[in-house]
Amino acid sequence: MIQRETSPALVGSVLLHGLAAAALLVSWNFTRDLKVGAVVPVTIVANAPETNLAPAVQAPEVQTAQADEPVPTAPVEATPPAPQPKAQPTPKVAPPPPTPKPAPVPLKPAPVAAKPAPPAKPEKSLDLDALAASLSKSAKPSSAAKGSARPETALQARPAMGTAEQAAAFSGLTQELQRRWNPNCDVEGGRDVLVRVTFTIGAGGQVVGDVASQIRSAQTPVSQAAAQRAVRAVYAASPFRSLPREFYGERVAVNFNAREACTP
Amino acid sequence: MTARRSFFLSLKPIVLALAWLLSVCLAASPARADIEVNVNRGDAQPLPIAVPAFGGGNVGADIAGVISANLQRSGMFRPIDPASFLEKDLNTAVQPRFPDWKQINAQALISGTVTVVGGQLKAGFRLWDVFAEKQLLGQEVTASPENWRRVAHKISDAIYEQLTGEKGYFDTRVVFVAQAGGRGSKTKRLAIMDQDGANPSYLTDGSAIIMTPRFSSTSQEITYMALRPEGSMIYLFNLETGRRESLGDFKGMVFAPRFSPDGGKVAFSVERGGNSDIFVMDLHSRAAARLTSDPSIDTSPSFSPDGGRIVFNSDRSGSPQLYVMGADGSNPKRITFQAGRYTTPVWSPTGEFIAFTKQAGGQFHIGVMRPDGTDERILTSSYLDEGPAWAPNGRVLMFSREGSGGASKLWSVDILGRVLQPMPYPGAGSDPAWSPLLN
Repeated sequence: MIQRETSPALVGSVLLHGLAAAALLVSWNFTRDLKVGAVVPVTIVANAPETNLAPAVQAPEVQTAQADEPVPTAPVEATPPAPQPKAQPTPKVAPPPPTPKPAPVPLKPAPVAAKPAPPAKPEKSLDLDALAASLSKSAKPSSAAKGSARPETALQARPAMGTAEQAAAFSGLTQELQRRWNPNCDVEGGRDVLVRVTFTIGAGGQVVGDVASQIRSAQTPVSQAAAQRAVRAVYAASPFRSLPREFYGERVAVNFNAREACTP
Repeated sequence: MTARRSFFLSLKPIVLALAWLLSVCLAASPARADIEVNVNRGDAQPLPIAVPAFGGGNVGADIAGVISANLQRSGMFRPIDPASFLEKDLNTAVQPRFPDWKQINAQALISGTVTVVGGQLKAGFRLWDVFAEKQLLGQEVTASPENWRRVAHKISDAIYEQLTGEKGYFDTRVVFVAQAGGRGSKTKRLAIMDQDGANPSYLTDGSAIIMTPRFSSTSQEITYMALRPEGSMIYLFNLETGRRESLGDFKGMVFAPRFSPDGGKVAFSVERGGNSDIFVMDLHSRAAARLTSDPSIDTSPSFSPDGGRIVFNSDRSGSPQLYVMGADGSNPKRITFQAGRYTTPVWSPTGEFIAFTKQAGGQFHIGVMRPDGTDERILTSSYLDEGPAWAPNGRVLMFSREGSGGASKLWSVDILGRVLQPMPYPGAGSDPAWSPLLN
């Protein structure tokens, strides 16, 4: 039989914590009559730029490796965070000047050698009828709940690939984006937002480099927040494994149309 | 001539450089793409957001709890259960481990730290876009420690605005009629609380029965009706200065006051000999003008946000229905034609909707409709729901719900009817009215 001794330090600690909790309960649950005029100022004293951060401590598991991708030179992110200056400025320090972002953390080393040389691209118009027919055969039903059925059309074609194959390839990409796109239909003006997002697909089907967004409807705080959601959908859908490798390294443009998506 | 030629020759490198720059810019233009697709469908749902306890002990956890509850109640967000969080030791000095948050599908993440320095509570927080792996917002908020809830509301507003593009409504208060006592000894006092039901306190002593308090949309000022045995009065009450004044003496009973959007006028009803009509008073000149003169009950005036129109309730058609007229009383038009009795109309701060109480099918409902009466949407149904009040951003309504037992409670519902819940205020209450955002 094992007998455990209770250390006096532990007892003291428990007592102190209990007392502290009781004191907090007493002070915070006390409902005071409002003193008229007692609107106590709460102020935002500083804006914190992202640059004053230490890098994240890496999660133990590494992101899924792309089988065919050359492993980039060892990323520096695996190192434990170096001691950094404290995140928050000292009392009432003026907000740090909005200096240009000096690449805070080296999170995503861009793949260097993986990009296949893009073939010459004589532009060729797409056979929309064939595309539609192939879509109806090959496309899986979307899990997305909203929006009328519209052709999610690839506008530019790659001559090496058949139209039906292209349609199927783009259909997978589109469906993945639909599944990940969470448009805000509930805010005023949210249903009118059109956002075009452009990005490059890397050698493993993942997004590489910056994802740019362009608001093609009225520029409002609501459309700016909507643009963030569209960009988020692209990152969330990456890597685009349904896209054939011929398209890796390509520049992709996605037109997110809340007018359609928010129509019941 | 030669001089001119040499001048042009000297420009040649600049022209070439500009042409090269232009071609580079065009090549890098976001409009250029090898693949282009249209996404016409989405998965619209409340945004999954992770709100871990802020560092800094109990108060950090409490602040996160208030933020999470605020966001959830708006109907726009779905806070993720903290039990599913994989990264436990989040703090604002270190970037989050994004894969951990992606795994639980948190689309946004808040990290925060609370400290008390020199008697001041400081809460620093960062809002992260998990999938884009970038900071969307980083701020530090200070207050005295007992005002930690206001700190939480300020942070909630900042997050809400960043992620939706709309102004928040969390750092606001609600005035209402607090009811106490039983039959014969019932008191109806003016009371105030935070929008989430916390910090309730009384503003009047119970010597008069208080009804229909309304906030100004531009200041911390209230107008309300006080009923005493000798008659009714309409008061103006400035919460910041404590100044309280009567709107004046009127023949008959005055009731249902409401500010104009600029706070410069108050519209109200006056009942004389069984006939109620709507009047408006300029608060500077104290001149009153009569807006309706129909031999029926005209009441519950509420201005459109541009101040140009007034929606009101009238039984001139035989049953209570809603009408819209010019702010000078011109051109009244009925806007409700469906079955049921419509009362207590309130124009939304955005101008997009009119909220109302509807009695139909043996139930009371809170609903919204367009200002022309179209697109009616019923949000609630119960034995007795009434008196909707808009949050300042037009996203949420608060109203009173009375069960068959007789106790009236305050409830809130978002304008999509997704999140319907009772307010935490434990007592009986009715007639809520929402303040504008605090400074």
